[in-house]
Amino acid sequence: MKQIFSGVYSSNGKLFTRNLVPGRKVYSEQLVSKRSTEFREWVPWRSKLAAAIKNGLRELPLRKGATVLYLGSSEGTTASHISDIIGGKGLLFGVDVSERVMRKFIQLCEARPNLVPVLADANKPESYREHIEGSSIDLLYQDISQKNQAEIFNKNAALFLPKEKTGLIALKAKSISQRESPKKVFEKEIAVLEKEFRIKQVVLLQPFEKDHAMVLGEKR
Amino acid sequence: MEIEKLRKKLIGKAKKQVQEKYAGRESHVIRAAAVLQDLDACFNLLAEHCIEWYSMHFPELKGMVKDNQAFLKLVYFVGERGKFSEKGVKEQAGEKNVKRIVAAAKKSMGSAIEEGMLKEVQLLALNALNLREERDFLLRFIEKEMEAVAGNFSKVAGALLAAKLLGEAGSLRKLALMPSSTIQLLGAEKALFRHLRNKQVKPPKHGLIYMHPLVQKVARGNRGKMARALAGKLGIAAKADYFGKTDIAAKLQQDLEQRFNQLKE
Ligand SMILES: C[S@@+](CC[C@H](N)C(=O)[O-])C[C@H]1O[C@@H](n2cnc3c(N)ncnc32)[C@H](O)[C@@H]1O
Repeated sequence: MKQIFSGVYSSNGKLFTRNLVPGRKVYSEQLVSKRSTEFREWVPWRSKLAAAIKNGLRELPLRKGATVLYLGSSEGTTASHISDIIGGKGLLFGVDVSERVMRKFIQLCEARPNLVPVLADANKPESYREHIEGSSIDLLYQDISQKNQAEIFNKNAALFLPKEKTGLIALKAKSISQRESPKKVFEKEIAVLEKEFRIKQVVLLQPFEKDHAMVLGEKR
Repeated sequence: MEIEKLRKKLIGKAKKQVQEKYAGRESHVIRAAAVLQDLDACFNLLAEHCIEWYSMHFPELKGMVKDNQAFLKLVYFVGERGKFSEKGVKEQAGEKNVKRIVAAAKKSMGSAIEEGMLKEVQLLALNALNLREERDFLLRFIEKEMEAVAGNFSKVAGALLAAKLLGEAGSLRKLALMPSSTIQLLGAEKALFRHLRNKQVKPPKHGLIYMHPLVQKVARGNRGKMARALAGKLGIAAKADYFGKTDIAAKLQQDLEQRFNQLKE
């Protein structure tokens, strides 16, 4: 096991995080034990953040105790690995609009002491502002397939993300425009993100996800 | 400590939001299951009329096409027996008996039919087929909705049976609080009254869950035992759905398969 980022391990080309709740799987990932520590495989086909790391993401501003605002947390596949990385002292707010996925995510929150569910529309950050603003956010992460995804990200960054902190957003070309080429779409979206962020890296997510890119930026 | 308080509060809040979203939603799927049952009955009634009527023109067909839907498609899309070709029959009714059907059409002893009369029979067939299509849409709705309302329960029972049981119980809440012995007899009341009214109808043994494939496939003498095991697991599934626990359907299904294998012979 080689540590490639704080709390992220690599072995034989596979990614792992230390299981915060040993013995329990979250999706269909493998559990592996090395010297009395249990690791969970982090599958890039299931998690865009893992795909970005596999494809050369240069920075991952996560460590033990970090606080994360996660928009589009869904059932918590990716969120569970961030939960492993930030450990018991960390905190992750998972925002999602769908009751169906939230039901699963709530169960995950009950099993993992650093996860907090927020059932809300990320388009309307004022609706959950009171719960978030007491915490200082280290990373704003977003994976939402909506036409105005960059705008949603900017709105939330403006409200919750302190200067010089990091934003990571998974852009999906198909949900923005069916007609334009993915490259064009990414350029346009990145231009929108420039309003709130200094863009540091763009990582394409092939072959794990088609027409997806992960954008890393620093809050202006 | 502050954070732990916030976390507890937000977990409670999200749970309540999710519960409110689903509260009362089950009444729609219960309705849909009741409608589906009546659609089946309507379809079969209309299909029978249509088949009898068409049989004056081509009486041999009834014996060769057992599936009502396939029969009606032949009536509507092919029509007069003079138009029966191998290609046309295959398209509407599948591979079975194709040659025999076409041969029978050629030398049928049925009477000729006027264009205007045939039209009437065909319209009847079309209406019945539309009902059938509506039924398929409704079934898909029931499957989707049951998955959202009571995923574990629906997987163990099968969506349609699950919706019917839910309807008999009245709500997911009532179902979740029900002892498994009651679940085992859900739906039997109606059958019981049917038996009391007409002694030729047998008295019910296991209620609706008798329809479940595992109960149907087990040796006759063991059906009671299989139904009891099934009712027990259904009770657990309903509780898990109502009180918001994880996916346990796969485990429950596995246990039931095991019990089934014990009781098979
Ligand atoms: C592709 S999934 C995210 C998968 C997740 N990030 C993972 O890797 O485990 C996108 C999620 O965004 C949610 N979503 C879509 N629009 C949203 C909005 N306006 N506000 C919050 N969540 C939204 C959807 O409900 C869905 O769960």
